[in-house]
Amino acid sequence: MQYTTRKPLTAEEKRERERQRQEREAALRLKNNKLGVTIFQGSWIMVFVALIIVNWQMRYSPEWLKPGYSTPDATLPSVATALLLASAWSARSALRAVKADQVAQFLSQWRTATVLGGAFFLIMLSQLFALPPEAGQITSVFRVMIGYHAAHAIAIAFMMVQVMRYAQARPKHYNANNHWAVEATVRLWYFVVVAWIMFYVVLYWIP
Amino acid sequence: MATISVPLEQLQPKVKRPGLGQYLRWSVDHKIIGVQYAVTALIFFLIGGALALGIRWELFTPDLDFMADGTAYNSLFSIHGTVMIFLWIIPMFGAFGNYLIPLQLGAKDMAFPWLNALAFWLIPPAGIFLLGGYLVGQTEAGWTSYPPLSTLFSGDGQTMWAMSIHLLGISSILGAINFIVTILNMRPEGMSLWQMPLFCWALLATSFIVVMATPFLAGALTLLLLDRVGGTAFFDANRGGDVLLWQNIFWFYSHPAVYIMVLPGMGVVSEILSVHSRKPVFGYRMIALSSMAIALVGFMVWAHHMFTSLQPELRIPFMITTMIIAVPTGIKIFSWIGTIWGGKIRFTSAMLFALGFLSMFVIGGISGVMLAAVPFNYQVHDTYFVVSHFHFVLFGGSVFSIYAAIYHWFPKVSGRMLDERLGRLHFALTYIGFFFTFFPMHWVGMLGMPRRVAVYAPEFQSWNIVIGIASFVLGFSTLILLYNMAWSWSKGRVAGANPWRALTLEWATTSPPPAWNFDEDPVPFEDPYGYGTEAAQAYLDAIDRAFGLPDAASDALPRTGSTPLSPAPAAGD
Repeated sequence: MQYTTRKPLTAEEKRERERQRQEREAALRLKNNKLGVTIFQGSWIMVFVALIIVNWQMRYSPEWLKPGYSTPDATLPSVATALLLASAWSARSALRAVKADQVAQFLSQWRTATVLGGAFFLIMLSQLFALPPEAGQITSVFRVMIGYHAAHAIAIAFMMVQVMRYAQARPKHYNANNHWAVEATVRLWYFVVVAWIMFYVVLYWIP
Repeated sequence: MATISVPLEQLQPKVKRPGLGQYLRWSVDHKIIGVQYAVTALIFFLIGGALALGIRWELFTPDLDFMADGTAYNSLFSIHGTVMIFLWIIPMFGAFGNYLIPLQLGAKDMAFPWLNALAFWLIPPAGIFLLGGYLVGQTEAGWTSYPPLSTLFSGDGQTMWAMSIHLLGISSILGAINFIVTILNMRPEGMSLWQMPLFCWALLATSFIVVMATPFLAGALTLLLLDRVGGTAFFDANRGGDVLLWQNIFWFYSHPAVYIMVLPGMGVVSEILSVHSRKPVFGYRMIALSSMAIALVGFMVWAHHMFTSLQPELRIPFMITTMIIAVPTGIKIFSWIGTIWGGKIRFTSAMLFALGFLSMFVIGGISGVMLAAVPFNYQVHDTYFVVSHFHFVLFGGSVFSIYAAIYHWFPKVSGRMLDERLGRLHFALTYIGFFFTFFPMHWVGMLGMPRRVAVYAPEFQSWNIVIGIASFVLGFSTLILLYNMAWSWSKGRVAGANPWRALTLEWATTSPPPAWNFDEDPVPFEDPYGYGTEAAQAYLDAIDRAFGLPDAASDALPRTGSTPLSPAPAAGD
């Protein structure tokens, strides 16, 4: 086997090669972004798994739930969960719209998703006070889980608001060719949904 | 006909090294970030090492005489352990990962350069928090920070400790995401996963552990901080909390963290043993897969750290899983021995440290299997036997491999060779100093000397004097390395592009590489360890002619007759 030099390129070939390089790099950036967000989601969900394990182990504490107190009612959180699911559905529709270049529909769906997400957040904030500190260890665990999730929800909701502001200020900014910010926010909002569903079951439906 | 993407008859111009200022500010160049990681880690290594010598100075006598009180001693070993793990070994492998992975993959940079810089710049404030906590005082709970020591019996320093580790955890996760994406998405054409350098495989396995395990630590630290400053009682048994909760979550991260600290070292050793014995890696796929196996099984062994506090019915299962993890480790050892067997071994400093790793890590591995046996573990729990074991793994394993990596890749980073005579002296003193520091700890441990206590029974003093003297030899040996690096950075012999005649892609560019790494997409050789073939010889000669040869008088591997820009020599390297 031998190793030789390549032939020198003409100016035309160089331009064509540069164009191909730019295309390749743009495609690679998008591929990297998607994989990066996926790994982040798989990684960070482990914090929520850790808190579920905390919940499980603390249930063995003699002071988990003191006599005279009961676990919080699931009605309001169920409403909040429905709102969150609706928000995620709406965000998904918005993403599909922007991918199809339907900018007006995207914006309207995105606004709906953001408002529904905000409503979920406000309801869940009220849940922080669903149990008094005297109820036992359950209160600490409950508040940590709700608070931790709320912190993530508000961070991603902030991203949704930013996307909305951008889209309102520059209607053509997000389109079929440029929508990674929208897609990333939707993926992270799904993360908020999955984390919440896990917590919702553990906190309200497992006695 | 394969091509190499440089004009062969024209020597590529030398690249100027970045100036000092570039290393002191925000940069998204993976090579600058790699050096930033390395220098930061080395500074913390010196701090951690000085603290270690403080520990040994105190233990020269059985009484408490050097330290003001037990609290000062507690802080000393707590900060020593934390600095060495979180601010030396883990970031130092981050340094090699950052510098080498894009080069080994023929890429221009990491997948997320900005995130890469952010991951590094979280480390200095974390270090300041940690050392600030030491100055504030009462960081007394050891690097494991078991409650109630870390909640009820520690001061504000412990709070700063937890904040520091939180930052370092985030840094690790960001770095690991970057490594995984870079390795999976940015390999060049012609490099499948099975043609990837073994260092990349090791970093891939390590990164999977980081992204899956570190969030657990984040969860545990959040609870610890809430207990300390938020009035909760997750770990306060008097108020219905559970101290074992911390131990379970902490070790679910921290046992895999042992592999975070060792797997990259194994990758380093796989590279060096093959290059410096001029032989293909024996059992490439088994080494690669055993890294992944270690990463997987590493998640199933955490409770062996808790044998004395664990439910009895869980002890045997965790004993078995712990012993099972010796299997993939043994496969690696076997493969490494197979690699050097019959090879043309060159006892360079890098090779000496790699062989040192092999011998010391095996001792650490064997004592690990001993500790996996529940009855024996009961006998030596919290004694110096355990201290000896983990130092054989983390110093004999991780630090020896870091030293080997420094000697191997310093020429690529700096363009100059490290001095081999100083390197051999460094190796001799490190090997002897290390062995006599930590091997006698097996005996004093089995005789019952407890760890983390400044005052001990007088019958242990003679061994502690031996250990203390050896530890100062070990400390001195580090200064030789630092002197060698400082001297060689400006005055070392010119390394050329590929002083070791290695086939992986980081050597197929100038030393140091240009900011963009490669002028064109490089063409990887078909087998990264396929030494001894005519094709390999031709590939290596092409690199020599395109990117420059080392000084004739340097300690690089001989060229078997090739001269700068001369026609390709005959095969038979």
